[in-house]
Amino acid sequence: MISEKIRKKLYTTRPMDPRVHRSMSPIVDQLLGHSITSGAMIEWTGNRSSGKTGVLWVLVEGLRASGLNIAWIDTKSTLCASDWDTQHRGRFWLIRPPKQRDVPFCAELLMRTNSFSLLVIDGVHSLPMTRTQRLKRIARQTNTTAIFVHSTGVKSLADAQCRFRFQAFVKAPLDALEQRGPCTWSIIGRRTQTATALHSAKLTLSDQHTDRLSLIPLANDRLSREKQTAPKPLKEDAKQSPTTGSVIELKTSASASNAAKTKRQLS
Amino acid sequence: MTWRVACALVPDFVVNILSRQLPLNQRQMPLVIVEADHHRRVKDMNQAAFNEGIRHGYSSSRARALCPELICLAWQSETISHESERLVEALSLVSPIVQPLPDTYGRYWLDARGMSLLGGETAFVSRTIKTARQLGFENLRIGLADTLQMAELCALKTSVDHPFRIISTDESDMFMEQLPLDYMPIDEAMREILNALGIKHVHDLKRLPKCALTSRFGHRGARVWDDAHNLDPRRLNQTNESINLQVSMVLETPVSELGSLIFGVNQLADDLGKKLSERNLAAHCIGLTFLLEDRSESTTLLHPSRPLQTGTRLFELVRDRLERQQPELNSNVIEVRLTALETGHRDAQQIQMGTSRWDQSAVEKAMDRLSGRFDESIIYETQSQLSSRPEQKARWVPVDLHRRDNFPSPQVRPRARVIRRQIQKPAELRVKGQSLSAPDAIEINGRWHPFNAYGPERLSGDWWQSEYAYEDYRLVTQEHEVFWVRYQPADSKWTIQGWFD
Repeated sequence: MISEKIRKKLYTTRPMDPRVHRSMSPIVDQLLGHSITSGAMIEWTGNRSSGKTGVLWVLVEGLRASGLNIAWIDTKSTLCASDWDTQHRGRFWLIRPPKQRDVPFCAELLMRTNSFSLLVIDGVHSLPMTRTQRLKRIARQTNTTAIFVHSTGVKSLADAQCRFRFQAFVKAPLDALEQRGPCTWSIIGRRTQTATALHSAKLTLSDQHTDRLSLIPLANDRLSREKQTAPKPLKEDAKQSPTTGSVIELKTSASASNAAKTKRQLS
Repeated sequence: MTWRVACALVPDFVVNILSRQLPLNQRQMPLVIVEADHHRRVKDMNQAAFNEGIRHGYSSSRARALCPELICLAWQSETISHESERLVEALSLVSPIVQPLPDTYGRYWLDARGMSLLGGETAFVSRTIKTARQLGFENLRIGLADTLQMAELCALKTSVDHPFRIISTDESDMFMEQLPLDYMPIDEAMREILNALGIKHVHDLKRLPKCALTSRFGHRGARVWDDAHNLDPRRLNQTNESINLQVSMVLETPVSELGSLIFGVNQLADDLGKKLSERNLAAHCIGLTFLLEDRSESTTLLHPSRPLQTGTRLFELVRDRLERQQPELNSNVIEVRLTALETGHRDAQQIQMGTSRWDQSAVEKAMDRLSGRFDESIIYETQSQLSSRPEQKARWVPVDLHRRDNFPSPQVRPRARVIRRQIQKPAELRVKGQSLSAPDAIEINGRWHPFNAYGPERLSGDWWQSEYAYEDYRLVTQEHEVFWVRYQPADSKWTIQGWFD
């Protein structure tokens, strides 16, 4: 039988009710399982160019538009300012700690300010179990959602409440203007728990229109643009280099010679 | 969160209730409500009786002398309070807090915060009017604004055709300035003096310095000045507790320097924290009031980013305000008061859920710790800059906590897009192929990758500053990784700028 005093103490120190975060994009919300809850620790994985940052950008923009503040710990200093320079009520702060081992300190400090609704920890290889458990506890106490972004090959977080995995395939350009650069690639995102896929969504990433405008060919390139063809998939007939095991040497394939020919014509 | 409050007003509330027993044609006739005791003084009247020249406090015989066909009804306190309670109960269905105005009948404050998220404020007003109509109050008027006083003024500035008036935060000043002084709570003597001085509207009053009104009219003048500037620290009682959560400290000698009050304020904050703890409450808004020698008072409102419940946190908030933005005072301070103006039931580690979370003092402390540890700025935000290069249209600059523009958020949905990942120091790329300008494979992480190349995006410019000319390519590898590669024809050099993610 719990005494009234303990009951009252338990009541006053109980964790807060989680808040639901949604992006303003229906397709991303579908991928997220309609929402992500605050105070959760989330793993966000995918290979290079898998579209994980693009999808996360949508979530960040949606949250900032609703006035929530975002902090992003960019350990590898790879975020480009022009992509994140949007005007919203919510702040977007980028933290670049000098060393990887400073990341937990910065994350803890930022979460304890109670001022950020979403904290993205980007590019951390691995954290000790004690550290992740501590961050998880603080995230729950401060109602901050912590998202760990890393490549697929990195050891996954044992404490994550949910995981998202991304894969992408570059789509062959159909538009003549897009011949000069792949503007779209198809993303498949999966929300998984242990080995089971809970939600799956397919979406397309594309460049901004302003970027696309920069792809309009110059007048003196008209001839080369007319001759340019859609890129063909690369052949798998590469062989191991005799010098080093890790080096792959490509046979002279049709696509490679085609690409080389294109370069020569363009240059 | 911005305070939004509505004032619901039923014109001739008492007359309407007590004249319900009369037929409709008699209700239109001059009608007064008189005291139930033997004095039978006029306590309330309808517009027809007012037009006949009858005023409050007249005896019934004098009123009848002015208007022989006058109908006199006796005051019935029980009926009036019963109807008032019935209306409060009904209005509670549309607003979480309904509070009658003190010493009046038929006027109620309604909490209208967050109504913009529940279908909008206009829909809230419509719901309120509809609810009142169901109880027989056909002519309910509503004013909605940021402060209690402004809401009441808005309600008074309504008409039968336009039964409600909603004033947004931006429109408050303009609305207030156009009002004549009759709408302000000013006593007759002061109004006459102000009229004699040629001050007939609020915008005339606003031009006067506070000290001028204070020196001429004392604390009443200071209050009028605050009213004209829409400074109203009153709040609705959110916890239905009549206990006023206020602590005060009377100073032994008048003080002119507020910095010397820090220790006293610490004690006040502790006392207020204890009071809040005893009642299991947390404060959403704190009022710091200085009573001055000239009998005026100056109140500063403090809005913490999350509800406060401990004396330490309360003191930190007040101390920061005293250190950074001291209120301008006309006279010496003789008393300090700390009031919990807005309270709610406390909860563990509370956060304002409906608003953006921003705890300025906590963030400043965190930044101090980071700068102490790393001895350099590691927190950045974006800043736009003019550039023809896509990746240089913005840059990361160290965060300035005191510079913050309020941006209206665009209402368009964000579309998923490609995001660049830029390497800070672009490394030279090893390529191989038939010629250096048209390679077949690139080496990344010690491994040769065949690719499909897309491009180039040729960019050049800035000859007047730092000349550049290069070609950007996007290389797609077998693993569907898209690299951002740059070729500089001047020195035939390939560099990897980053990748797209």
